[in-house]
Amino acid sequence: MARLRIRFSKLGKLRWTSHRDIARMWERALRRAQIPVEYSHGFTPRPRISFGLALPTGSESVAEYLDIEIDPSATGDAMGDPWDLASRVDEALPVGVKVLAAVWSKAGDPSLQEAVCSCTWKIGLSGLEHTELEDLLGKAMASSHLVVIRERKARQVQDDIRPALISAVGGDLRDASRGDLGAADATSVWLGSSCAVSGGDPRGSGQPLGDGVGSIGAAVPKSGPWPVTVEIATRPRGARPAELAQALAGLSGGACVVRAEWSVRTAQWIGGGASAREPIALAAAPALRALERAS
Amino acid sequence: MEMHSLWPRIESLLAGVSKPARYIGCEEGAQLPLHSPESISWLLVYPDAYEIGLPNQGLQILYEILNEHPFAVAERAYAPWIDMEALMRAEGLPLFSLENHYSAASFDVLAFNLSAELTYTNVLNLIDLSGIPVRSGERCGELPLVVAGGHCAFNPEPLADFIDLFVLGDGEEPVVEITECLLYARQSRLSRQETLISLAGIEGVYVPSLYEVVYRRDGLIESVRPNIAGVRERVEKRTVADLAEWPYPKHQLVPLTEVVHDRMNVEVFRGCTRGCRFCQAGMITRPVRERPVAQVRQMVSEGLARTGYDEVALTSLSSADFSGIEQSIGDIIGDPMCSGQVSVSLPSLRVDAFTVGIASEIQKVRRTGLTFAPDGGTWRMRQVINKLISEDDLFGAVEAAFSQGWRRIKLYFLIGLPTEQDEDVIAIAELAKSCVEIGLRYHRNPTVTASVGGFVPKPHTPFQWFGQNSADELRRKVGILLGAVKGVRQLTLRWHDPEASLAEGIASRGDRRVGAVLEHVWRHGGTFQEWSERFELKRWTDAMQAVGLSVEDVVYRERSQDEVLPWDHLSSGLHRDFLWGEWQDALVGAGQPDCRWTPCYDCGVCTGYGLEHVVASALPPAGGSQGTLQVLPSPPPTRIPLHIAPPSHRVLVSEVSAKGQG
Repeated sequence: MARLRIRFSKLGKLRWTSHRDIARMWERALRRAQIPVEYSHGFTPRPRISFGLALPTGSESVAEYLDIEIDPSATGDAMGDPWDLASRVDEALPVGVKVLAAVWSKAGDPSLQEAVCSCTWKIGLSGLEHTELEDLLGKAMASSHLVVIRERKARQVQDDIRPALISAVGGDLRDASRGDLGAADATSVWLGSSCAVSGGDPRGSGQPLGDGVGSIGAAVPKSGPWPVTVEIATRPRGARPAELAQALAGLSGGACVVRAEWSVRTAQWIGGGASAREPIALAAAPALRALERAS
Repeated sequence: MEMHSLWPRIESLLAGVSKPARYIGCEEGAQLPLHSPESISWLLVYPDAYEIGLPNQGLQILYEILNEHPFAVAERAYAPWIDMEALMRAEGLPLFSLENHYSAASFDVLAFNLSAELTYTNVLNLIDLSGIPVRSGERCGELPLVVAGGHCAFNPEPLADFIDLFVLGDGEEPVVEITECLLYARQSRLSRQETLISLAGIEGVYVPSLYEVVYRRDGLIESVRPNIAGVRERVEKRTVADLAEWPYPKHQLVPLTEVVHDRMNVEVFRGCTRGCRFCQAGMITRPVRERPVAQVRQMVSEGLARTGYDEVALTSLSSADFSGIEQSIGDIIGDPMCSGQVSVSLPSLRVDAFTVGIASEIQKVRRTGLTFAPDGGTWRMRQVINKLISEDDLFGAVEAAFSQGWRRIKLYFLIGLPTEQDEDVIAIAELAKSCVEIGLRYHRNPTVTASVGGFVPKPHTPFQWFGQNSADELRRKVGILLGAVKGVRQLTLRWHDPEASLAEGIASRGDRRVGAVLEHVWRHGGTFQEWSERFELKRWTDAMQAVGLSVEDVVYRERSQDEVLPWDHLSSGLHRDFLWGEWQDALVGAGQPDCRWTPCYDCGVCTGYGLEHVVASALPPAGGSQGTLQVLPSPPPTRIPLHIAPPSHRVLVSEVSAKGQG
């Protein structure tokens, strides 16, 4: 069995679609691209594709993954360059969802859901001054509990998200607005160039960008949004960007109404600490191809 | 008006609303038209939630036709859900288009699709949300023209005070003519009133402000006549003569988020002459116009390749009646693009074993449930409504379904039909129980669901004169049914809220005075009345009282032959005498066969408009008795002789001797 693992982005207006919407979108795109996907043999045959962690509706990402089982009778032993299939399906995807890289993975490998243990997020937090934010992040890392209110099965429950919070650091102030997340490595360059259009129309029709989305060096309001880079574990239970904002507001004792104005998942990690690696790192060759296509 | 994108302001609200993907556009097939001062801009609005409105084929057809026109652009809008509307109003954000996110008021035309009467209050709400005066008399100058079309436009009077012009019948041609008339009006610098008069010259266009309704002292209508010279006394509907010339939609919209009927749709024919007397769609869309099989094949195959859907629906009012049904299904199943993974659905099944045979062929993959609509519980009742399905047909169909693997059968019935007795109601339960028994012969645990709707008489049908059952009476009949199905575990009864049927009755056959009722309901928070959790009858009865109208007069009263009906100045092509004759035949249970395969009885449409049925086969479909092979209880009246053209790839069956006569 041949398994194609794809890394893709979800940016722009499409971020308002749900995880289920994205799954349907992929199923249709795979059929349109006539990718020989393996189907289940049950009463209702389903394409054998599996997604990694759900991305909260409203968040963007340059690190989404899915695994697609490819019908071996269609490909034979010569599986070929994974990019051949990946680029075909990329053309069938809606604007805002883009294939960044693709690799063949072994059928016996653990699923994305099992393997991924943490994610890196860039989050724009507003509702407080920069010094207050630095203070609250320090407090958050030093505290043993971070309580948030969650809705679970139509009931409000209290949860501690502190175990999920691996690290939280304030970002470079030049990153304050979403339009300039750029840095030196390839991922961020890609991220930066794509985010430049995400405030307007994803079709790139030159719409004016919204408030808070300015060019590098533009004045940022005193209340943010301020960029924060956090690493959040997926087990036993993860945390959403909005919940981090809620927890910080709680830490301030109600002095700040903290909001996550924007959030981008920039990486998912397999394994912890120094051995952590991405399911597909964009520094590899496919990323350069992605870069060429994005420009 | 200056056009700029409202997107940044819209997006700032999305984190706080349910299903934000409703507001982003970006669907596959969506266009991003470039507006210019030289073109006429249309905003096509479906007055219900995105997930209900997006699949609407009528809207999608006009969207493409207008965007293909060199001097027209079209975008879409749907009713923002209650949570979004509240935020929009708080932020001062108007209704917006989904493509460019422009303000609704910046378009030249706001065009509403009227598919259901209970959406009328949403129409008012959306005009208001656009920042436009709700009443057409208060609009002036540059404000958009408010247009409406769709099946409900055949009695537009309840909306007459709010809509500038209505389009009756098929919209494909009128939207282009309206665009061209508006271009002319702009060049000639016509005033709003002059423009409306000029538009009223287009066939099928009804400008209600140019007509005056005179009432008698007893409250009935004396007359509805033009209030200025040169406006036609009677507006005739528009009909596309040949569907083959209109292969739309060519780029069906594929939504990014969940909607109803989320599948590829291909309209295989328009119009229906089964002649069910309760059915407004079957009366106002005559004659039958089939799409050529080859075109169906092409639309399906291109559509599937482009959209990536794994389900295609062959749509029409009764798709098993399509001459090319078997071939079309064979084409789809044999298409390499489908490679065994595509399922075909026929939204409205005919009740017979033959049809089930077709269904079993196409639902090899997902054999979940089948729905049949006998509509009436007894043969007598079915004769009254001219739905001539015998019990043998029904049981044969149900047997075929259960024996071929289906476990769930859904039956659809109407209660509150003319001449209905309690025994007709009880018979619904008996039929359903018999179906359970058939099911038990094949499965340990079959399921039969009987869905019961309260009948609402509709304009331009033989039942337009009938006094609707009261909500209490419908409730009583539901009670009878509940008692009669008790104890049968495999049988589920579902029924439509009788109170919603009452409100629908007010909006369906009301005259211009009902406009004030709609406005009252809307101003008191009555939007999304199609949604049971949003519907409250009290808003409607309070409004009727406030306006001084009685439910008895508008809904429950039987109309007499000489009464001027609010829609008598609007024509669906049917002779009033034909409808009255059918009403009288109904009362004595006399049937009427399908004129596609039997001689013409001159309902008025083909003869009046110089049209013909466009059907590829002059023979009725095999296996079905409904309106074709059954022995009718009374001898048919004298007919005009039938002329059948020589067989060819595509045959026109014509009832009158030559096109253009009459």
